[in-house]
Amino acid sequence: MTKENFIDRLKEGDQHTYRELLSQFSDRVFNSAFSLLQHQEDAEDITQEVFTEVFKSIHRFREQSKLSTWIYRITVTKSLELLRSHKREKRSGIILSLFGKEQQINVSSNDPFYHPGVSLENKEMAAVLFNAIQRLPLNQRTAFTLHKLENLSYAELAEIMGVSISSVESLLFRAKKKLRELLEEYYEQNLK
Amino acid sequence: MESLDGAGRAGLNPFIREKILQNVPSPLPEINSIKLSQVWKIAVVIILLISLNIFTLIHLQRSTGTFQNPVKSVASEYFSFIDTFNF
Repeated sequence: MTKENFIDRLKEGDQHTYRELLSQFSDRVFNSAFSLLQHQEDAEDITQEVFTEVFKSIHRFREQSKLSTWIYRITVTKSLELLRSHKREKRSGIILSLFGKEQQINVSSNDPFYHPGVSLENKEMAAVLFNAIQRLPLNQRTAFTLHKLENLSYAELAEIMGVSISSVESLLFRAKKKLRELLEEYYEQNLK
Repeated sequence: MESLDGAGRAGLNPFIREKILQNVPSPLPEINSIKLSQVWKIAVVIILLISLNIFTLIHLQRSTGTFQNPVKSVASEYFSFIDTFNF
């Protein structure tokens, strides 16, 4: 089946094609959301939301970009929305705690994040790296995570994030620089 | 920094995949839509037919020299063998 045919069938609401779409993209969507959010339940919720959005909006997909790019873009948008809302919750939680009111906050904890795709010998080092990634600005975090864990090219990242290729290069350069600083800081504190 | 190199994908829980599959929309009903070009074609044919009718009528009236009862003149042409045909 050609790509055009595949998209046409999706637009026609063909159930079999939807199943194929899900088998092709569910792990990619989940892995991207999971790596960005570093939270399994949140990533599962986002995956469901992404496919609901894809099913709902496929007839509006104008095929100006690749289907995968479009799906990644929805995933990134939804994941970043959730991260921003968590940050807002965290901020309001801090303010409320100043006034002595407690609020349950569902934000990233200090528990190490173990990604199931990372090999066993790298697990601990990767957990430290993921902790540092959490401290990056959102655009650097998105570019670095998708580049490393989804093996997306600069061009694909540029399309997904709606920026130029040189901006992606710059984001990745700054992300790596910042991560190096954070990791140096971490190892200086913990290995002394 | 290289600890993520070659990392595999985290797989989605099959239970969640099934849940998503349950939300797959049913096929859209087929809509019998007519293209705009088809509408134009039909409109042109109708206009041509009306024009032909008007042209025939005018031509007939000129040839018979009367606007009074064109139907009668047509009928007289076709039913000339019936003397008592009454309209």
